[in-house]
Amino acid sequence: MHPANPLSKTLRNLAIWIKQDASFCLIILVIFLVATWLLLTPIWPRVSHQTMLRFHLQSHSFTAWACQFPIPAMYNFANQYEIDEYPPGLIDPLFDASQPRFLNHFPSRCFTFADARGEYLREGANQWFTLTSSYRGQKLTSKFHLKPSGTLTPSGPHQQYEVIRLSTEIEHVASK
Amino acid sequence: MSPQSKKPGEKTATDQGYVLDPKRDRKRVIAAYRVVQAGILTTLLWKISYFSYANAIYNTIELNDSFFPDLLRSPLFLRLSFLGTAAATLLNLLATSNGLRKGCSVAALAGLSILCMHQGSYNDMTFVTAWWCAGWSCWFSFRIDRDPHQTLLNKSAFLSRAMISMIILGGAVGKWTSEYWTGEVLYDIYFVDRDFWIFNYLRDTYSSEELRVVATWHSRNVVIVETTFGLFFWLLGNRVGATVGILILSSIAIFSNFLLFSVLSCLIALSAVGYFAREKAK
Repeated sequence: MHPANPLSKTLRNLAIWIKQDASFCLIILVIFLVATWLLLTPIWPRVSHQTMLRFHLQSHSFTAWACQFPIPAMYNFANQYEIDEYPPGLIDPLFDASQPRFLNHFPSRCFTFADARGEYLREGANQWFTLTSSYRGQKLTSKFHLKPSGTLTPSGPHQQYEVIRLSTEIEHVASK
Repeated sequence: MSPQSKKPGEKTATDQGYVLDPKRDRKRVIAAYRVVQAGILTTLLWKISYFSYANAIYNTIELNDSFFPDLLRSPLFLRLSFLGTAAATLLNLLATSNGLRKGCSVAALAGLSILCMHQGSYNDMTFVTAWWCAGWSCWFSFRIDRDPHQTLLNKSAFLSRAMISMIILGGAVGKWTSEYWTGEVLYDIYFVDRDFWIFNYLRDTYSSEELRVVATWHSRNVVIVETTFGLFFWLLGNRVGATVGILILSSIAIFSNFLLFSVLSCLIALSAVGYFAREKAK
């Protein structure tokens, strides 16, 4: 009997292939689990919270963070970063010239990734980073201090920084 | 009797309704596999000058962050993983023996897993999309000698659509928030100062108020297209799916940022797998 529509045809083939090929079945299962996680993101705040922690390198362990790497996250959430040369609270915000900019994903890239690391940490000075990620009424704010811990070596200029996590805070704000 | 044991040119209609032509079908199987390897290689090499610059930065500015294990902070380990993955993928593209294909696929998957977790590369979605394609390649290389060719091509085309659907859904779900619906995020990332043909044209043509409105509708369009694509793409047929996939994925880069081809090239190649499956015999 021929299936009546493309969906039933697809599902019929899928059932046959899953029965015949365990490795195919495993990959489909992984895709299904990732898709389920993704679809839970807007309806279960704990899932979006985990993704925000992932974006800020603040998951409770490296293993918990690394397990999420197959989950695609292109241009996810409203991520912003601010950079200051002074500790948070030292300067009145009225005199603070830095403007937060949006980033596509993983706002922590503003100090770990190539061009940003080169731009903000080349001089070897202290830098304070404030990262925020917002999604459907949840907002995670993390503050980092990038503290210089080493400078010149015989082979040329070489900066070393210590990454210090100052705070991480979740807020529940009314959706716009 | 498996189709692989038939004489070249011999045709029967035993593989789930497909007219079998083992020699030609084998060529299609290998061609589909190579297209995906070419896509992964393009993905890895598209931003090679940027990666070379990144390598120089990582050699001069080190971040001691105990969150990452020592090995996953090492610039040398990052360099070796990247070069090893690129070499394995190139060898995979040229390989003529299936044993070599399996070895290269596993090596590329391992290298990309490291790149997805390394301090210097975790945020680059290039490696996540390439990782999924490498997973597809691993599975495919281990099935080449086990499945009838047409069954393998049909299965692999479905798997490629399922993977692409899930990846694009990942992009869509993260945008289901007011900051994307109002266009605020994409306005700041692209419309304010991005030097790219379409944004330069829009800035030259519209006032800043009008530009903000264009950004809102552009952002909404992205959300709707990605959502529809992510939820339903896997349901399409092989050929239609391949065409729709290539057009939509290419358009994302053409109308936003050519650097996005580093993320999308392997997915475009994966989408093209649908062209290699033949129609059923009437």
